[in-house]
Amino acid sequence: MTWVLFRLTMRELMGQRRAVLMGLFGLLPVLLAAIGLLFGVEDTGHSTQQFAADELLGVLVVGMLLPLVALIFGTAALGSEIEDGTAVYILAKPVARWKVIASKVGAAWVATSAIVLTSTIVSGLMILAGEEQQGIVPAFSVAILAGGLAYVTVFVLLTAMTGRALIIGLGYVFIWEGVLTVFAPGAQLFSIREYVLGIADWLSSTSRGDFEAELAATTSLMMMAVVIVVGFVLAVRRLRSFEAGEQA
Amino acid sequence: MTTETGTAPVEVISASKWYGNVVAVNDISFELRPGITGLLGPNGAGKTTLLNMMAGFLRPSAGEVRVMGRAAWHNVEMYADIGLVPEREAVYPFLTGHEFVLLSAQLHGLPEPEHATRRALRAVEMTDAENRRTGGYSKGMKQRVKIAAAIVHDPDILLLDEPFNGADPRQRLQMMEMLQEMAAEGRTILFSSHILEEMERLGENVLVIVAGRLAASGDYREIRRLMTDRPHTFRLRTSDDRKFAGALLADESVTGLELGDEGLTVRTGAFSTFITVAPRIAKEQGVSILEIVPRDESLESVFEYLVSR
Repeated sequence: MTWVLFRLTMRELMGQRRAVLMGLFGLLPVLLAAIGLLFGVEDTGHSTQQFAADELLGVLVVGMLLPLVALIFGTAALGSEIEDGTAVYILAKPVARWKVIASKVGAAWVATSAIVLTSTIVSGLMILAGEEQQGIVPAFSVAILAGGLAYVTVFVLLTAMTGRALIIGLGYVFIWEGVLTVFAPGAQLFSIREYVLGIADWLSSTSRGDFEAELAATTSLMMMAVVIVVGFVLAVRRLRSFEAGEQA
Repeated sequence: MTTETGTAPVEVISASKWYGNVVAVNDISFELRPGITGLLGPNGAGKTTLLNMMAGFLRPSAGEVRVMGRAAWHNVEMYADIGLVPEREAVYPFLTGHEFVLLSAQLHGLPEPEHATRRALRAVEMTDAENRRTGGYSKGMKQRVKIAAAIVHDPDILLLDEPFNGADPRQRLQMMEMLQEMAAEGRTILFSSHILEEMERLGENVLVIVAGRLAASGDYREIRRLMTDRPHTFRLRTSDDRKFAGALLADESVTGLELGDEGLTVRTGAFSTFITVAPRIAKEQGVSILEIVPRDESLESVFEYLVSR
């Protein structure tokens, strides 16, 4: 990674309206936690731990906030430069392509983590205040950090491959992870969301009834590592063969 | 400057580039040596495609493009020797001019990036606006800051795609002088343009590209002469068209003539001879020339002629 490119990408990602919008999006779990605190979660028929792990963090944060924020930052990190033609200013330099990809992935990961992790910690601690913690917040925080890296790596790869990364990414998040994994359990093996839940389940000490992931910890960890490494290598290879104007 | 093995800094060897059935560049060969070379051609002729192949941003479909003796494609190291000014106007709008050039200096790993940045900005006369964001720059200012970013590392080879777009005449002249100075120091400079006059001022050597093919190459004056001496068509109105037509037919510079309601249409194969002979004949015949209008002076028609030669 080069710090020059990392800083440039961070300015690009955080200096525009998209960062404000993502920040507002990140407030949703905090809002839900506040509502839960005000009205209590007993009426939902769930324990506070189950509500925190399964619904607030499992569904809202891991199922929606994390992939969407990662999608926006991951596709913008390299995609906006390819789209407007400024990519040539970084590619026409004697900088190894792996460093370019590492800088882009790194910046998108930090931007994603800043929003999703803050939202996770604040909303999680709010809803679990005065309750038995069961390691839920730290477990989800670590899992989300790993998941964020996997998501942004995949989305940076997509932008290096196609000008339609955003559409394909949305399809992956909503159709593959949101629908297919429910009706075709085999699809869970290729779902970053399931890896995140698998790691969170492994790290937390929630009881079986409160929160249970579909994938085992070892499978989740292994697949997550494979996605990150393979995604990174493919993105570097794709960028090495990037042709000007092909996505304009 | 040549490479250690004595080869030209840039070699294009039977290079072609096609997209499906569309041929953008068709079997072009040339060498770029130190000095300024102009790449001239109408819009859509393949200039940018050719430049992108030289800059390592397009893989030739056939043939080869070599920079400093090595293939340009998949050659990241060559960018230490190359400065590139792309045609597209976009620069990072949130960076100031200074930050934009500094970014380039830092990515090149220069030992004193701040010093190199100030020097490059001075060279393009952008020091006054260096602390303003590039998003607020005019097109000409963006062009100049792009050139500053391309020369910040003192490259041996400079590739510029339509570099004078949007620059006012004074800026244009200043940039041309700067490029001439760089060429005099032994650098290899290629700039593309669709404007003939820019070639006249800068291009000692010219490559003319039309419809993806190299239509002509060599000394600018020689190409200019070819362009001048191609068949020309004029429309004339005189005080006595019929009498003047009869006298013109006897002159060997005239290859064809039509007499119509709108006057005379004259075809000549020797432009320079005709424009001196016509007034003399008119004077001898006691005819006044009221109007003389060239019919085929567009750049496209000049290019078409060069291709069909």
